[in-house]
Amino acid sequence: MRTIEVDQPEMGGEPDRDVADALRTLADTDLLRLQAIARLRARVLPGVDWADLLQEAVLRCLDGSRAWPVGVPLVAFLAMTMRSVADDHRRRRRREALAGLWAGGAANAALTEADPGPDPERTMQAVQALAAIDRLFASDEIALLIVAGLAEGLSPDEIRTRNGFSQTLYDTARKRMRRALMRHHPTGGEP
Amino acid sequence: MTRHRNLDAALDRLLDRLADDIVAAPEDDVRPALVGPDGKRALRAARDAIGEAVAHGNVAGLGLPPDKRPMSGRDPRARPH
Repeated sequence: MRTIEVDQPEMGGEPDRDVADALRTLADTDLLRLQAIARLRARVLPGVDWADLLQEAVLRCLDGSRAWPVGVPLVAFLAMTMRSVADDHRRRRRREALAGLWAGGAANAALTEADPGPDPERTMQAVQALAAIDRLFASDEIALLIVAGLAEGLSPDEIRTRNGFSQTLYDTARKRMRRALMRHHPTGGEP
Repeated sequence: MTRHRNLDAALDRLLDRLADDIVAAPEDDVRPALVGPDGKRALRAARDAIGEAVAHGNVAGLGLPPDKRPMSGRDPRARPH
């Protein structure tokens, strides 16, 4: 198991036995959901493997760093935790990159208190990450339009209205997108 | 707002929406991914990844200074590799 470098999360409670028990009894379909989410998020984290991301999330849940809210399904909880791990990792990478350029402790202050201004490298990373997601749906023009709408923060109705999609056309495309995300196996099929 | 922040925000929105979709996907949309050799490999990889994390969760966690992990008092050097 490899190490993902992340920021220190908030301290939580005791190791969560419920999480461990629930993890052991996850359905096959839920295991694949978690893998698909880990793969999706790892696509935009250069140098991070999906398994590392998933494992770090599991560890945070197990050790109490993240408390499992009552009523939240385990898959949703782990999905949120993976997002948090990914965010921490990206923040850390940025801080380290700045720290390499700036002397002393100015980098942290620049990141947290001020707009560091245009950052060509970061812009390029975001462009590449969005392109990587587009490639998942490269052969599906409707899916690409939906992806664009989702990235803009549009609601399903707004996406449908903007593109003239019927409800059926939209729902069918979302189903294709879900299946494409789930089908994206670690061996083979990498776009 | 600078361009990279716009792009970062767009990326975050997109990832969140797609991840939410996967979480909420009907079983009928997930089961086909279990079929065939690729499906079996994917399932085994997911199971192994989680099993490994659960096994290692009994010692120091990943990515954080051992003395700052909530599970203190355990020797991180004991973590299997």
